[in-house]
Amino acid sequence: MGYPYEDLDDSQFERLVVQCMRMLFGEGVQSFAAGPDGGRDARFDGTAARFPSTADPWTRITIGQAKHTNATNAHFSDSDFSGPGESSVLSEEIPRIRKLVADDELHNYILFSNRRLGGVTAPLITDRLAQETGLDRSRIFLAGVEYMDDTLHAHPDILRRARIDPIDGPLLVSSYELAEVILEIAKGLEASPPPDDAPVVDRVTYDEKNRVNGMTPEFAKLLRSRYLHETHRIGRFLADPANTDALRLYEGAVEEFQLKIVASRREYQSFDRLFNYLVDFLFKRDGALSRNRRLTRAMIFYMYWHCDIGETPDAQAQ
Amino acid sequence: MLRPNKHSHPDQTVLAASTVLLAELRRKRAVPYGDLKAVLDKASHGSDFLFTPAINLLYLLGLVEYRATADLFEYAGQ
Repeated sequence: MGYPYEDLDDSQFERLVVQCMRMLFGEGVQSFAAGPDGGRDARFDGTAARFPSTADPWTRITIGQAKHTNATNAHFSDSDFSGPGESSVLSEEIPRIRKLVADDELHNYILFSNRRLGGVTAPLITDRLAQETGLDRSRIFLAGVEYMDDTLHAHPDILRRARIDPIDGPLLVSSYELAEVILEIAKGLEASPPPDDAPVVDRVTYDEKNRVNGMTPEFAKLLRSRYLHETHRIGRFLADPANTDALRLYEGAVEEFQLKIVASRREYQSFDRLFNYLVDFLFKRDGALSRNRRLTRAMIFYMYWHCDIGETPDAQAQ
Repeated sequence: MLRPNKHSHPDQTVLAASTVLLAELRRKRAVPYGDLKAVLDKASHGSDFLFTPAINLLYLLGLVEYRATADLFEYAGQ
């Protein structure tokens, strides 16, 4: 079971990469403060301790770059990462690398990303980097999740040194065991009577709900005009006895959203921002949702319209 | 399943389906399986999923008996 890199934030991932590099190159790997980094997250000047091998280590300046994504199951071959388009991550990175090479500030380049790296993709990307930056192929290295997992297994101390606290980050133990327990519990629950259905709440007007939740009238009006007609279709789908399983999944999703919304409500001044944050987060995390953007927004609106998420005046009165 | 919730359509619940079946059973006293199912098919969307739970409910209330040899449901109420 791999480490859940996608649950880290960018700075945690950078710290992890810096510690990986210190393990491979030496304690002299320099990290940089957050902000525009000019194409480098870590810099090492000297002879590497053990990379790529102790027999023939890299020498002179090595620049390490961390490219983190919240997406699960992302690949180096994704077009938004390594595609030829100007907006891809690699296309934006290449001019910076070229500049560092021209300034004699980069002789070796190592790119870490929490993406899967295939055997076919790796040489293609390495060739492109070599051609467009003037670096030798042997001085470029791509580290995907497979390489990072192996490094972390070999040197578990890296996690401690990266100061990734299990309290504010993901579980440091393998999540495999936890998943096993949860699956067993789910099996046990299936055998027992199903849990109670979602409670019925008193109806409130849309305006009143918006007022309590801090949704601006303009945003509320736009949502209503675009997605209200979808709520009938979603409602009909969920009411169909054939879709009981989908309804259970819906109620599970609602519960998770509502808990997250309650926890992070204070960080967002208006529900508009919270709504957009939720939708953006879902798009980033799941390819299926990002391909169905309109329906995803409609679904979140349905949850809100149906008083499944967000505060209701009734709940507040309690 | 028995209690409607906020997502339920009033006509697509076990209680609603049971009502339809009970009315048919009280009217005809004995109805073949296929005919009773057809009545619910006509009356309610999602009948495939409601028929068995609705029959179960009527049986638990002592209102219906199933005659396996004739494959029909017989009204067992007063």
